[in-house]
Amino acid sequence: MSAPSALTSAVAMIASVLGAALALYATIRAARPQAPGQGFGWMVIAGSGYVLLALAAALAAPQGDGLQAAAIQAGAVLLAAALGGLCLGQSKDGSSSGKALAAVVLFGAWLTLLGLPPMVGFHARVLVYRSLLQAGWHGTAAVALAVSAAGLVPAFSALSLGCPGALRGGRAAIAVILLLAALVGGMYPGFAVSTANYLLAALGVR
Amino acid sequence: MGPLRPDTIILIWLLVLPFFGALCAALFPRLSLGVHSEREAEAMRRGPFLLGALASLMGLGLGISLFPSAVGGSAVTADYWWTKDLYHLRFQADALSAPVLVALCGLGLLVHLHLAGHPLTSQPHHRAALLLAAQGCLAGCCLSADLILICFLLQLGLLCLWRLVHLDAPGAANSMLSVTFVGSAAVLGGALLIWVRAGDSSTAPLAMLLTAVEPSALAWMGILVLVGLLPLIASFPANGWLPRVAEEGFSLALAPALLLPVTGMCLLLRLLPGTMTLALLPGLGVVALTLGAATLWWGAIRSLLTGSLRHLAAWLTVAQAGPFLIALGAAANANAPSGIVRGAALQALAAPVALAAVWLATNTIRCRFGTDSIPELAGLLKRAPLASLGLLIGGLSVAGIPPFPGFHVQRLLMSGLLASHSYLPAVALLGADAVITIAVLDTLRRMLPEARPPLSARWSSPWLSASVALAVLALMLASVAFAPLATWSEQALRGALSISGGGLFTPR
Repeated sequence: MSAPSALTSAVAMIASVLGAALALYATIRAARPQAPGQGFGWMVIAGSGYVLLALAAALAAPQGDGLQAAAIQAGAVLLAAALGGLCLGQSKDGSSSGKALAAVVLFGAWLTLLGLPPMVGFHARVLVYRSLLQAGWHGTAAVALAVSAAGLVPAFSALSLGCPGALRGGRAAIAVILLLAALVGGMYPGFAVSTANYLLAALGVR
Repeated sequence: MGPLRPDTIILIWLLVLPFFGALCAALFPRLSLGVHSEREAEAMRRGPFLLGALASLMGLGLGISLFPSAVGGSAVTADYWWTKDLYHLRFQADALSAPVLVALCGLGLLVHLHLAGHPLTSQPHHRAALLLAAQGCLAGCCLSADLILICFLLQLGLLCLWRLVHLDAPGAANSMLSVTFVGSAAVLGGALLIWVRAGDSSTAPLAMLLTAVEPSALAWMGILVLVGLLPLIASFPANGWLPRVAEEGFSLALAPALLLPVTGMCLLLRLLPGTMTLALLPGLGVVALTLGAATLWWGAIRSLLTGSLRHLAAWLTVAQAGPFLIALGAAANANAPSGIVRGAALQALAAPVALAAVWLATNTIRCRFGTDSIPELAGLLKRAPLASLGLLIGGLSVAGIPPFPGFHVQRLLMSGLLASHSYLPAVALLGADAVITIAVLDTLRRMLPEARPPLSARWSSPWLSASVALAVLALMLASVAFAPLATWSEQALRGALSISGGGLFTPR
């Protein structure tokens, strides 16, 4: 495969800076939420910054795993956002039924966003860091790792508040299916990698 | 169907343990619905912990059964498909990981027994489940032969311990996870660097694959792994979480205090002398020696100045990381004799057993007398002789006093340091040992005179005394029968730890 042109390299560099800045800015904002659920929302945006970083790495090193990493990270962020949306979008009510499930689902969503095992987010982050190193961006990889660790701060404050809503009926079923998907992707990363490769091939990108 | 292969048993055990714990968590609240009196509830509360102890005992048996073949040089491996081209679900019970599996299960057994007798234990099913899950993940981490799998299981184990400590002390648990997670992120960074440069994430062939890597990149890999694992072994300056957990966590502090150092030391041995040639890592020796001396002295001085037993236990835990790091740093010297790495490997097993005696004795004293403040415990030696014995011999073993296992470790280290003309670390080691000895003896001296009025004791469960007695027994056995451990360390050096040695670490 031929080396990327100067223009492609420049675009890749700009995209990597934007991705790192987005992840950093969103993590800082997530640490100071103005309203319940806002911290989670900012962390979803921070997760999107990692997608941008992986895409930038794919531009800089086309032979690397950037595209695969971007696809898995995007999938993880979407799963986490959907899980969080299902939990946080519920109105408060007095009954305790469904609250335990909502708390478990929200915890799983946070783990996915933070890139922690046993969820698919762990493997997504590993591949993003690897693609950055393959592109020769060691500094960016270090920043991405540090920002990822800093994500614990908003997670602690959000999880200490508990889950405001409860999950019941169809929403509960959807949440359980999505949570299982995130868990299966984490326990069997081959499944996540194969799905990402299949999607990329279907889109004609790879 | 043929007999189960040992590697299949390892995998089944690793997978079953967390789920077994979770099952306990699911079952016991329902069982307790049928309980109508406090006495019945008290009896029922021990159930999850005793089941946890049984599971740990099974793991202990598995580790012991693997020991002969692992020490004999024939490592038991299990290789499963995880991702097609990237990284693998690969476990290896070799001369390093089999004894560590025994240590993790043995220490877990003691913690389960202790919690079974703890009077303040609420949510027993959650505690037993999380403790079992943490044991399973950390054991899996030590048995892993893939860099990414190591990071995966390490972070999962840290999460389990975080949830466990969070039940008693949320603030301290968050502090613990923050520090250890930053460390694990650094380890992941080092692992990724190795993976990208070597082209393989499996630990076994790394030494060969890394020979072409430039020294600066090698140094980064080594430093990231070393610095990343400092919080786990409670080394200076990443040791702040331990006294905080001891202060706020009370009964559950001993779980991370005992399980994390064993895991951290095993991983340091696996990833540094086991996969990279220490002598080829510029700067690593100096960093490890400096951190080791600082940790040893910091722990020793703080243990001398402390006024409570739980802080004494915490600072002794910090101090035990010092000799290990000094050994690792001294081994980076090309002229270092093999005894130094052997000493480090033995320290990874001997120190946690000694610390188990100290932690369990401290918690038992606190349960029985309602305090662990040293000035308030005058007369303790007469009222609680077993717990006092645990404190004494555990503390003296950490200080390297004969005939305890710590002495044999320090003897190996000292002879290695003197043989490689590293006089300054040798003096630092001796001096800190003297300070720790004074701290332990002074603590016991202050508890010797009879108090007026006499110290009043509450009733305490026999499980507490049983856990202390077992820890004391394990330490005594390790003192008396040190020869098999020394033989093991030689075999570990020939097998798991000499991959990168190229003759450097061949036992003399």
